[in-house]
Parts: sequence; C-alpha cells; structure tokens
Amino acid sequence: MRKLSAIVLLVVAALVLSVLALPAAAQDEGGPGEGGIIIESNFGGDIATLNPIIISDASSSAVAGFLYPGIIGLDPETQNAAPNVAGALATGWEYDETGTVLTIYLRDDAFWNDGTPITAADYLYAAEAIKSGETDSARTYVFDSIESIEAPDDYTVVVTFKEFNCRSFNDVNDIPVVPAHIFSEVFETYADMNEDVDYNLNPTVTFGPFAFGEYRPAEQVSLVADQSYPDTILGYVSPAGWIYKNVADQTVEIELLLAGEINVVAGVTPERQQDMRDNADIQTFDYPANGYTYMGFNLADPTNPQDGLDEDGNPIDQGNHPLFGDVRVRQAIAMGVDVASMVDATLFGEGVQIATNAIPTSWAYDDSIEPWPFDPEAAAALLEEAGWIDEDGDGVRECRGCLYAEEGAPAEFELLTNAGNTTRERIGEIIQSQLADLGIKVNFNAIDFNILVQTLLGQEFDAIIIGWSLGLPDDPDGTAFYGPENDLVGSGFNFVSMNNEELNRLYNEAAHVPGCDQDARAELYIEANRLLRNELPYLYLYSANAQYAVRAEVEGFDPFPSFLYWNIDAWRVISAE
Amino acid sequence: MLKYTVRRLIQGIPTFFGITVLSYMLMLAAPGNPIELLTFDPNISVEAREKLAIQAGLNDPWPLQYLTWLIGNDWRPVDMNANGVLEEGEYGVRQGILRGDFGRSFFYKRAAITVIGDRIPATLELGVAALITSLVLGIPIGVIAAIRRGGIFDNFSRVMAVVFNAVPSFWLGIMMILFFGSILGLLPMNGRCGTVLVGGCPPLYARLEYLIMPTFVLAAGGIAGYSRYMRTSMLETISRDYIRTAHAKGLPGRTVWFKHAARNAMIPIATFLGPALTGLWGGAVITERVFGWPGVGRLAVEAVTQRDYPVVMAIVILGAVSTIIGYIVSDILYALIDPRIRFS
Amino acid sequence: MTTASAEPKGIARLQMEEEQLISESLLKRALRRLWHDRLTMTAIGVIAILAILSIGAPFISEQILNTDYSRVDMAATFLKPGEQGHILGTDDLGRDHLARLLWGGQVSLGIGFTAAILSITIGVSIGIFTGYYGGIVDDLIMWFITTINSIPSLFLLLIFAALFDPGPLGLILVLGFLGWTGTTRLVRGETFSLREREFVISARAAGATDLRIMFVHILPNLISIVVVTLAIDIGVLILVESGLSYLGLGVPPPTPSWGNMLTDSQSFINRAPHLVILPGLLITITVLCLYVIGDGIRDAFDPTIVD
Repeated sequence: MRKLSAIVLLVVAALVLSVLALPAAAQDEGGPGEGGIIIESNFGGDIATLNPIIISDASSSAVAGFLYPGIIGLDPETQNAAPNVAGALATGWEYDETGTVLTIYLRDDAFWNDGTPITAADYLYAAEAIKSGETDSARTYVFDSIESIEAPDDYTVVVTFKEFNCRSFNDVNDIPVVPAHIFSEVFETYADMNEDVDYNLNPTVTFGPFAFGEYRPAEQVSLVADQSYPDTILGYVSPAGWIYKNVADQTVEIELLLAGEINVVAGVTPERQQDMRDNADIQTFDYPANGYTYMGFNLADPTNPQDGLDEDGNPIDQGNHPLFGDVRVRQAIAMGVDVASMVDATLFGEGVQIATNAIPTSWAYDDSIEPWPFDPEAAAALLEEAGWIDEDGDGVRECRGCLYAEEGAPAEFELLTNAGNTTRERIGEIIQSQLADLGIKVNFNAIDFNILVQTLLGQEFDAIIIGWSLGLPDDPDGTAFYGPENDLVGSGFNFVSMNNEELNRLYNEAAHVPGCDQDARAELYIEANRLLRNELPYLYLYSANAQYAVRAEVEGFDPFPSFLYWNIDAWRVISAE
Repeated sequence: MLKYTVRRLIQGIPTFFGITVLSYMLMLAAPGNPIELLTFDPNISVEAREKLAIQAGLNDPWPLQYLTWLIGNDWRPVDMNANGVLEEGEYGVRQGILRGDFGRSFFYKRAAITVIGDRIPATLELGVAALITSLVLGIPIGVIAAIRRGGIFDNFSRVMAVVFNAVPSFWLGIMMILFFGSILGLLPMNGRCGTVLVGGCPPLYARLEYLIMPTFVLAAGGIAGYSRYMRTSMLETISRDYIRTAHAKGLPGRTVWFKHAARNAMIPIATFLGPALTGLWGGAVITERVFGWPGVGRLAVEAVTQRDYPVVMAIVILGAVSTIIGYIVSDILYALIDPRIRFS
Repeated sequence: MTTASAEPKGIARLQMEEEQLISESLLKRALRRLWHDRLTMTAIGVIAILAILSIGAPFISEQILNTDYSRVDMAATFLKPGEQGHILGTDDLGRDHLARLLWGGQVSLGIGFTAAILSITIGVSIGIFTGYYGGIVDDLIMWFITTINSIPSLFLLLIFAALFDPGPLGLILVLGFLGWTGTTRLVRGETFSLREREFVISARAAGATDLRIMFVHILPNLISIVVVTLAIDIGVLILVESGLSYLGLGVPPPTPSWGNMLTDSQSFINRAPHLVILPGLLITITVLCLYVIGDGIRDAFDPTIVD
C-alpha cells in the first residue's frame, strides 16, 4: 500500500514538474551528439564492403550512403536531381548545344573529415578505377555511354558522352566520390581493392552526418556522429550514432522493435503493417515501394530460344509461344486474374494494382491508363475467339483453330517463381486457382532462385512471377526489358522476347528529346505504357506498399518515399526517463 | 601411440583428396552462377558481367578451376583485367588452398578465410556451450534415471527428452523468443551481445544471458540423446558381474553407482566427443538464424545460395579436416580410456 | 542333389531349424511384449490413424469436405475453426485448413516414410554386402563412407537440394541418398558377427549361395535394427523437412506439407493462432509417437531385458 501511494506521489510530482518545466524543455533540445542512437534492423544480409567503387549489395550501399557524398544530389521531395542538395556536391550543371557534353559545377565548401577539400579529383579517381577494369566493380557499364571525364579545375567536372541520350545523365551518379588522397595511398593499384585490404571495412576519411564507428561481422555496423559535416539542419548532428543491426528472422525483427531494442524497421512485411499502424508506441509511414511485381509471358518458342537480333541488327525468327504468342490469350489471362483481391489476400491490402511498368510515383505515370478489369466472362469469350475451346468437357481448353499451338493441344503452361518468397508463392497459387476456373491448366512451381535465373535468362520458361525494384532517380524507359537488342539468350533482360516497332520508336524518341524536357519525354513514355498495357508482355500486377516503422520516442521522423533519413542529423531519441 | 597417430593421419590424406574432388564437382554441378546472381540487374551490361566472370575464373574448364583452387594460378599468365589480352607479367594472384589461400569471396569481396574466421568464434562459443550443457545435464539425468528405473524421474525425463527432440527447433526457438523475450522480457531476443556504438562485444561472462536461449535450443537434442544413451549404458553396466560383486561386498550404493558403474558407462560417450565437437561445425544453421547468431552455419547457407564458391569450399574443407581429426582423436581417446583396446 | 551331400545337409537343416526356432520364439516374445506395452501400442495407434487420414486425404477432402487443398476463396480468409462449415477454419488464402493439414500429412509422412525406406534399403544392402565379404570391398566402401561423413552434411543437403528437381520427389531422393551411411555402419558391424555364427557356417557348408545367405539367413536377424532405425528415421526426416522449409528449401508451394504450413503461417501467430499451432502440434505428436515406437520395439527385442 505504501509502495502504491509512493508511485502515485511520484507520478503527480512528475506531472507537475513537467508542466512547470515546459518552457525550459522547449529550450533544451539536446545538443550535438546528444540525440541518442538510431538503431535500424538489417534483414538483408551482412554488409560486404564499404568501398563504394566495388559495392554491389544493398546492405553495403545503405551504410556507405552516409559516408560518401554523391556528385549530384536528389531532392528527397521530388526524387529528381537537383543542385545544392545536402550531402551532395553539385551546385549546378549544364549541357552544351549538342547535348553530349555535361559540365558539372561543384561546391568549394565541402571537406573530408580529415580537413582535405573535396574536389573534382575525388570523382575522377573513382571513375578511373572503374574504367581500368582491374577492380571487380560491376559499374563498368557507365562507360558504355560515357566517352571521357575531365576536370578543368578543382571544382568543375566535364563529362563527355558518346552520343546524345537523355538517359545517360543517370550514369553520372553511378560513379561515387571517394577521398582520392587516401585511396591512392591505401590501394597501390586499383586491383588492390579486390584484395583483403582492411580499409574496405574501416573507412576513416568520410563526408556525411556520420563517420564510421565499427563493424562486427554478421552482427552490426555502427556509425558515429560527425560534427564536421556542414550540411546539418540544426547546425549540428543530433544523434550520437546510427547502428545497422543484423536480424535474420522477420518475426523476431518486429518483436525487437516492439520491445524497443531497435527503433527503426525500414521494411515492414505487409501482414504486419496494420499492427504497426495500430500500435501507439510506433510511428509509421506508408508509401508505394519503388518497384513492382509482375507475371512475365515468354512470347517466343521456349523450346528453341533465339536472340532478338542477328549481328547486322535484323530480327531473328524466334517462333511463337503456343499460348502466349497470341495477344488475345494474354489479354484473357489479364481479365481472368483478380488482381485487386490478390492485393487483399497476399499483401493484406497494402499495395496498388498497376496497369504498366510505371508506378504511381513515377513522372511517367498517367492514371487514365487503367488495369484490365477482372471479367472472367469476357476472358472466356476472348479465349473462344482465339480458338481455345473445351470440347471434351474435362475442364481444360484445347486448341481448336488457335494461332500457334498444335490442333488439340491443351491450354496448359508452367508458371515459375523463386522458392522462399511467400508473397510470390501465394500469387502463383491464386493465379493457378483462378486460371483453372477459366479452363487453363497452370503447373505452378516455386524453384531455387539460381535455377530460376538460369531458366529465365535462358528463355526456356513459359511464364514467371518475379519483381523489379527500380532505381532513383526514376527512369521510365523499358528498353532493357522490351528492346530487341536486349533479347539475348543466356544474358539479356528482355527474356520475354518482346519486339514491337512502335514501342522501340517511342523509347528511342523519348531518349532523344532535344533538351531532355521531362514533360515532353513523359508524354512519349505514357504513350509507350499505353501500348504495354494492351500488348501485355508482362501481366503487371501491383506495386506493394512499403512501410517505415519507427518508435514513438524518436523525434524528427519525417520521411519521403525512399528517403527515410534525409533529415537524420536532426533526429533525436527521447529517453523514457 | 605416436606411430598410430601418424599412420591415421596419413590414412586421412586420400580421404582429404576424395573430399576436395567430390565437393568441388558437386558444387560446380549445382545450377546457378555467382556472377549472374550478383549482377541480376538490367543496368549492368552483358559485357560487364562477362568481364566479372573472366576475372573470377568461372569461364575456365572445371579441371583448371579445381587446379587453380588447389595450387593457385600465380604460376601461369591470367588475364586479370579481362581485356582479352595477356599483357607482359600479367599473372594470377591466387596461391591455392595447399598454400593456405582459400580464394576470395565473390560476395564479401575479401579473402574467404577472413570471412569465415570472423564467424568462427561465435560458432565455437555457441557450440561448446551447447555441448557442455548437453553433457552436464544429459549424463546425470541418464544416471539418475537408470538408478531410479521406472520411477517418476525416469519416466518424466524420458518423456521430456522425447518431447524436446520432437519439436521443430526453429519453432521451439521462436516460441522461446516470444515467451521469454517478448512477453516476460527476461532474456535478449537476438544476437550475441548488446547493441552498442563502439567497444565491441564484452567478454563472454558479461553477456551470458545472450547465450541462454540459443544454447538451450541447440542442446535440447543433445540433452535427450546423452541422457538416453547414458541410461542404456548404465543399465547394461549394472547388470555386469563386477557391479554385482561390489554390491555383494557391501560397498555403499552411492559409491557403487557413481564410482564404478557411471564411470564405466561413460566410456562410450568419450568416443562421441570427437565427432560431436566437429559436428558443431555448421550444425547450428537454424538456431543461428532464429537468434541472429553470427556463426558459420548461417554463412554456409548464404554462401551456397549465393554460389559463393570460395566460401563454400573453405567451409567444406575446414569442416572435413576437423572431422577427420575429430575421428582420430576420439579413437585415441577410446583406446586410452578403455584398457581392453590396444594400439596396433 | 547327390547322396554324398545328404548327410551334412541334413545336419545343417537341423541346426538351421533350431536357430530359426530360437529367432521365431524371439519374434513371438517381442510381439507379445509389444502387445502389452500400452505406450507403444498407443503410439502405433496414433500413427496408424494419422496415416489412414493422410492416405485418405483426396477422398476426405473431395467427398466429405467438398473442397480441395488448393481451392482459393478470397472472400473467406482467416476463418476461425467452425466458421462457414470449415471445421478447422481457413488460411490466408481462404483454403480449408483441415484439407490442407490432411494433404500436408500425406506429403510429410510420405516423404519421411519413403525417404527412410530408401535410405534403409541402401544402407542395409550395402551394410550386409560389405560386412559379409569384408576385404578390399569393405575397405573401399568404408573409405567412401568416411569421405561422405567428413563433408559437412549441411553442404551436401544444400547442394543435392539444388541438383534435384524441387518438390516432394526430389526431397525424398536427397534425404534418402544422404541418410544411409549410419545404417550401413550398424548393419555392417552386426553382419560381421553374424557371419561367424554357426547357422551361417552350416548354411554355407550346405552349399547355399552368398546371396541366399545374406538375404535368407542374415537379414531376418537384422529385423529389429531395421524396424527401430526406420521408426526413428521417419521422425527425424519429418523434422528435417520442416527445418528445410524454414530455410526456404523445403517442399515448395502449392504442395502443402506440415513443414511449409508451419513456416508460412509463422507471421500470423497473432491473427490466426490455429494456423500455427496445428501443424506444429501434428509434427510434434507424429515425431513423438515414432520415437516411442522405436524405443518400444528396441526394448521388445532386447534379450537382456527379462519379462
């Protein structure tokens, strides 16, 4: 009883004190490095390296993003390249009249945390390292479009492209900025980056709100506040540090958040997103993830895969897929699958159905392009028209005068996805069940990702469920997926063997709009998307919602889609006491 | 005895080579290609991917890849920058496992042996803790169960042993996390030590609470196994003549049980120790994953799914070597403990 | 069949009959003991019921439940047991949970049983063979077994899983081909001692072929080892299957198995606990019963235990 009254007394006292202390608290906003520690769970696997020249995995990129400046910043709000973005170097840029020479002007007030100024030489070093081919960087592709990079002075970079193409601009940002004075000392040759050099996991000279703290293999990476960072919002970096803590099980991940052992989960699974919104201890932010899930149709003959073009650039006859070669069958399937319910069932409503490869946040998105309606009757009628009729009454249609299959062949195909991805597995089960109602037999298999990639790139599949995650800034072009030059058996990403002259023309035109005006380009891409919606090389399914879940005691949580941490230097964890 | 040990070690050599050839071939036969996986990205051009494959030696015929892995490629010209031209003095940089170079991880971009080395302490910590726990709990439970055969303790321990052995271990782990970690808030749910900005992991004694749940989940099978084995072994021993004699001589029950019977019944357990120690190697995948334990087992699964050949092979080889040594050690132990066996 | 061999053969037959008499009475005694072992008989009963239900899964789900394990109904997801005629409710895609549990049982029990039979057949055949002949064949096989056993089994499991087609059949082959070495060692040791026994020697003297000796004379004496190993292996394999599912390497959907049902429903523990509890419980009970059966049979055949 005495204990209870003591507690009551304490609570009352605390309340009174807090009211009295309010004006004081308003002034007491913490100080440099006094804002607590931000702890994010890392479900994506351990980091590999923090050398941005050779990074190729997402976990490493997430950490390195705090440590190195980008040459041209992205505005978190618009997701577009912009001058004078915090943490980036460019104050502006301009093209010459041919559109092939890009001059980037760099700020002169950025310094590595050892006091050395950040100059054009730091960008050039990384470019040279990548170009040398001696490192195992996968970014050598940037020199497919870039002819040369020069630095007329310390704060000017001139990039010369091989030809005018609006899409080449994004390649500029794929080259990182690294402290050349340190790197050239640590790595005697570029090839040394491939070796077991300690610096790759212990970078001492950086530029960002945080400097490197320590790395505990397979456990965590920690970064500590770096007060020398000039681009802060408050004039100082508030959090003491940021920790990326490995968690290997997603059920445990959420339990850790609920228990307050971590305070940020950047990718809550769909089935837990509602729980997070309902929880008073958690703040959430939902946004359409920068990516989409689809079912891809192999349009060509899967028994005899061929490249799209021969050496002279002429189309090769690739045959036709017995079922999917006919666009009416693809359209019937689009109407026979209830994508809206699929979003409800597999994503618990946390996603939006899409009609094309433009997700709602894209600058080439047009909401007048609508997905195919769910209409099993129209679908059945279209199949009849295409010559797929169930005459023997066994529930599976046969080819009766269809375009590309043998007479009497059953309407049957194999649908693949990667095992272990439960959402895609559920999608496959739904498609299988719903197409069975339509008289199409689906043999659905979830297989090892390695085998899937081989079957996919080898173009020996019928249909596949997989997803693309997209990069930033947004690039609505689809040449990599639908261009005949990328229809290469065993390696190209146009594995569905799409070749549509109109589409090729639109993409080509959009990439060469004089001055690269975004609105003019968007119009062309929207037209291309309208075509994709009807041609259906993919059945575009949905873009899932992503969710940031952050504990309530974290102040300053104010994200934009894909930009959770743009203001992290102003975050502050209010301790419970 | 030295002679015996040396002979056993020499006998291990053909086994070792058998293992290298067999596992290398199996691994290359598995579908999938590490470069394809690392660069499954439409931005990355076909040429860029091809270059990476050449640098990694993946375009070589498999006997050459095996040879490179075994004895290195620093003795032959190799197109290291993958420009299609063999320049003057452009030699390989690998030394081969026979000279201690296990190659470079495709994914982690550093020496495979460093990647594994980073994980070994955690695996050993958990493995040894589990082994000790299962022995320390399993043996006495077995002995007492045998002494009180048919009693409540016997039946209870037998049932518990079977029940804990029959629950899927990932399920047991997650239930324990939910109960002891989330609901009761008694034990940490994840990892090997606290989340701190700098300062690394404190010494083991300061973070024992992190070890409790994973150790129990990993040891559950062992406790059951050892207690059952010990019980059977005890029952067998106490039916022997000398124990009856000891009883008949009027020695007190406790002395007979623990000094004579239990000691003899423990002999076969010694032979388990070698293989049990090496069995810890990568044997805790599921436990490591549930509890976010930074061990070798998780690395092994990741490495196989990523087709990170150097890491996979290094784990296989280290595991195999320690198993071979484990068998030899346990044979020697057996011979030392059991006077009926002589080295021959 | 000459008269010259008649006499020794007669003696041999006499001895064999005697031996068989002993083993027959052993078998009889074992069966009698089993019959009186209530725990083991209960376990056998439970397994039998589960097996019958699983085998009857197609019939039960089609005729009695009027559904199919893959019939998706998105208007009826996460039903609680008993709702809308679903005895055990529905899962996240509105599929009947009971039908899926039955089919899952067919798959899990089927994999466990078939893979165990496969590995024991291989193990026993090689074990008898190498134990009976000994010599260089034995050395080679033992070397091979040591080699295989020295490769971390996790690696073999993962690689073999990648080599074979995914699905129940692939899993059976993988598990079957990986599990035989233990049985071989056991059987080989037993055969070593059996081949020196009188009934084998006299059979050989009577002109019985090696094959006949191995399979007619030696094999029956291994029956208790085989049955015990079988029961325990099935249990272990069911657990392995569920563990592989957790690692994303088990039976892939749309085929249900207890393992993948348990893994996939993990995140629904708050929303629909019955989806999680039932498969977990079924796995545990099944494995438990199999262990009990294994123990019971071992005890029943144990000559050192007196009634």
